[in-house]
Amino acid sequence: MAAVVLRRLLQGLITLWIVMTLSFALMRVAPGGPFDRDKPLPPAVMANLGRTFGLAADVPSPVSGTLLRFAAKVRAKVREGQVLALLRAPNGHELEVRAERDLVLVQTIGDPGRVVRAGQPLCVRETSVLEQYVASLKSYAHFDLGVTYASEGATSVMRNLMQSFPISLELGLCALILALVLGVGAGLLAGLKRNTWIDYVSMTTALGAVSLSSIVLGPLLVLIFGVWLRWLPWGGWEPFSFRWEHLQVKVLPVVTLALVYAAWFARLARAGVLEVINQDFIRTARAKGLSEFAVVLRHALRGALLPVVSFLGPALAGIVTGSVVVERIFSVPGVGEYFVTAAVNRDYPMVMGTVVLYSSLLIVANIAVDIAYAALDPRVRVEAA
Amino acid sequence: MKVPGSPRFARWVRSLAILALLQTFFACHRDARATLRTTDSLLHESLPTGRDFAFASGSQEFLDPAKVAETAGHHLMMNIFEGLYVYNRGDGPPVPAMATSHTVSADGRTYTFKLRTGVTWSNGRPITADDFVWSWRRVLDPKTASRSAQLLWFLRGAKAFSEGVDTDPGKIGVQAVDAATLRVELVNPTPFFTHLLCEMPFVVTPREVVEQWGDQWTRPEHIVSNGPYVLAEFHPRKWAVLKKNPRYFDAANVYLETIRVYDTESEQTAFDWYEVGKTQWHGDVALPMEQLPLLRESGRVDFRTDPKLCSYYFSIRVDRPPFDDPRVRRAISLAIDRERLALHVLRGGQIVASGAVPDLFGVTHGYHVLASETFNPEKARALLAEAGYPRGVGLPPVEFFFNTGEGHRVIAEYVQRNLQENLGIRVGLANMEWGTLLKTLLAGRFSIGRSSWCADYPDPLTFLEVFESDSKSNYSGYKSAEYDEVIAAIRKEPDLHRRNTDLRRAEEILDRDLPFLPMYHYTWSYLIRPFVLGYENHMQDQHPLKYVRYATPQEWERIKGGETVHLAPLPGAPTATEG
Repeated sequence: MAAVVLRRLLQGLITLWIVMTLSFALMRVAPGGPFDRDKPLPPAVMANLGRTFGLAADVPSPVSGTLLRFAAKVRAKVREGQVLALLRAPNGHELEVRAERDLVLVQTIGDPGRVVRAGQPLCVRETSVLEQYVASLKSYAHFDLGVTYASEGATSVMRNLMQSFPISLELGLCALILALVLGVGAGLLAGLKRNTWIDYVSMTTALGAVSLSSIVLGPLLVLIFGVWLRWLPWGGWEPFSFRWEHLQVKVLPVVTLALVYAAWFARLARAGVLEVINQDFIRTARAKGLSEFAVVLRHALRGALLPVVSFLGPALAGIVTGSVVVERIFSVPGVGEYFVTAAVNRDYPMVMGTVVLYSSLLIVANIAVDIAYAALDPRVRVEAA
Repeated sequence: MKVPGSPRFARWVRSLAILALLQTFFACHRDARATLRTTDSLLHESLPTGRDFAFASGSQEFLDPAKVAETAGHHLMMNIFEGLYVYNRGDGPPVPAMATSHTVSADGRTYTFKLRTGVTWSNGRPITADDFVWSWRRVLDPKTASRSAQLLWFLRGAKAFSEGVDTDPGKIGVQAVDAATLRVELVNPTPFFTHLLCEMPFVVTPREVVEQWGDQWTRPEHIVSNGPYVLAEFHPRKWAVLKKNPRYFDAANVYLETIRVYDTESEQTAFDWYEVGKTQWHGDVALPMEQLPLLRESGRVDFRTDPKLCSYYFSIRVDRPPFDDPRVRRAISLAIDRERLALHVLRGGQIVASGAVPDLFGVTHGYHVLASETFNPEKARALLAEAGYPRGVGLPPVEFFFNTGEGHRVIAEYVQRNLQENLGIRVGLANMEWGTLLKTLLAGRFSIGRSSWCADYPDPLTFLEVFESDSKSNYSGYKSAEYDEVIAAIRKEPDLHRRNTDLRRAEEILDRDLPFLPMYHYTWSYLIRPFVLGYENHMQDQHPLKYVRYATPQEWERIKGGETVHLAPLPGAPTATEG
């Protein structure tokens, strides 16, 4: 068993690396940079920002001299060997400074007449994607996720995640538990009382919840319980505690997130129960004289849980990503908000941070589900061994 | 596999249809309730008993007046830090803050400020001229990488220091003559310089705190400030609390004791908070798009619209046929009914633009912009025919480039319809992400592309500079030696009156050559409880909360009676011209 888990973890690590590389590549392919705004920033400011965040680097002048003019333009691609600038050396000779590599200029420093010493920066270039990739991998290897652009470098990605992830986790876990209790309960009842009004009511509700989705459900709940009835506040989040004044603001987001998944769970649980309820071992159990309650608890419930458990992995993924929507609706300061805004703003380190967090979470969750599945279903255990 | 038409499929379709109906019902219902408040219900509220104030603000990630670039965190910082002068209460000259007065040299290039005696930081340390020198150098330092550094480039030597050409901060045109006197040398006479001083990068920051704590210096446990408020609590993306600063020089006239800032990016949430009374000003988050027309039409007493120093236009590539002919450009411009666009399509109170500059400089500059014709379809048709394309015949296909955004498509489609109806021109629309559009604009690979410009500084020049031949934002490829000359003259002109004449001249050239399609000037709409006084219309949408107070019972009765109570602008800073 330990060997299997270890192998899965190793596979997970490789998956994580692939996901990271892909996201890295995708982010750089997407047009526009982190500091592109409606109004472009001056090249000097772009260069200063770029240097701060490893997106730009100085091109030192190989010689001393007086700048005559730059031959290349800002933002234009310059091929290796192409002339960058013309200098007049102290001895009066005109010198051509050529690019030592393919590059894109961010800033040309100074105007003609500027005196440059050898080794002083002549202009500023963009760092290549490969340079950025290697630098990021290096820092990730030291468990350093970098700093966010949105905070102008004042906040580390790790700090943001440490602050926001517990909130998303609290929201997600509460919703998951609520969804499981509601969903499995309703599904079990519906399955056992098949084709009665209980079955119809719970399955219709489930169908409704699945079709509505949190985008509709969230504002609807706010409208009813927040605006009309004024029973519950909404928007924002409170610290973790069991006091009502801290809990009340969490009710609506948790319920919104939970309802959709409760519906899925209910349908799965019902199907699971139906599958086992007519099987021989149930009949045997009943024939042995077990009480109906014991039959349900020991045998039917297990049958109902199997499909639910296998859906837990995807459900967790759904709840985590689904919480992006719910967090947005209810202004919950969780990871979800970062996931969207960081991507839109091309806040590369923050995007990577959330990607790493979510992928690790999913990988671990899937491994956990496999183990749980093995524990529940004897057939899987045999195959794994 | 179930075949469509089977009973089960029919059941599915039925339940889906019912759900769809339900969804529409709720959607409509939500729309119908629109707003909770009416003028009546707002005027029936009782006056607040305390001196607490609250508003919503979007994503305050960090606080540092030296680095602030966009709105995030701006409203916190502008109430925590102050510079030499601050924005007035409403449109008016800048008001003395850390400085009490200044003198200007005859050439308009040297300003000497007298600092207020006895001003201190919130920790009690006196504020000196050296603090300003250090703070401004910090903004310009390449290591600070401030996005708003260019606001200080009006100072002599500032740009070279920022660019890394010159590494000696001593060459920047700001010196402490003595502890209470600050001398500033500028590149050009800059008649709006005192307005510029109100901007965040010009405030003073506490050297010892920044040096000790680095990027963490604005944490509530470290921060030392000098404004009317101090930062008591700050939870990024959650909330912040400001408390009145007892050491502020004018603390006696600061009314609000506590200011709570709730963080949300959701327009609906910010709106709802206001409607249920959690906030008194809905905040710096935009109002929900679908609510704007409803609010405007409801005539609610708390709904207000401020003009903004921002302009929406389309750049026309002037070197691409058929747009190399100014008659074609003007024909297209005259075929667009902007009035109807603003009034019936956008419905946000937008101000129709006939040129690049919003007409907001009457009070501060005594300058009124050139008003030219914006809509005349007959003349447009005549011009097009004159250019050799009667009824649009023979005109190569035209494409409008715009970036993804709720309003942009609406506007592009509106213009498309106008050109079709009034000129018979068929126009294609090309929608792309902002990054891609920017690349396209910079490369000049377009005929007509959406652009916008928001003022860098409160002066008409900021809008006119865009069309200079070597301006980075001149996407039109417009090159006019005549125009460049006038702009250069404006920069050097110390006399306000002559400068206004030059500004007008530049506007006239631009109007004649028309390298762009002016569309409208932006506005900013917000909600604020009617008992909040001192939050007056301001052309840059700046509202220091130190001016804000609640109505007295007598004033409240007057407001209930339908009166509007305004607090007048304060007197500006005394200024003198040196010999």
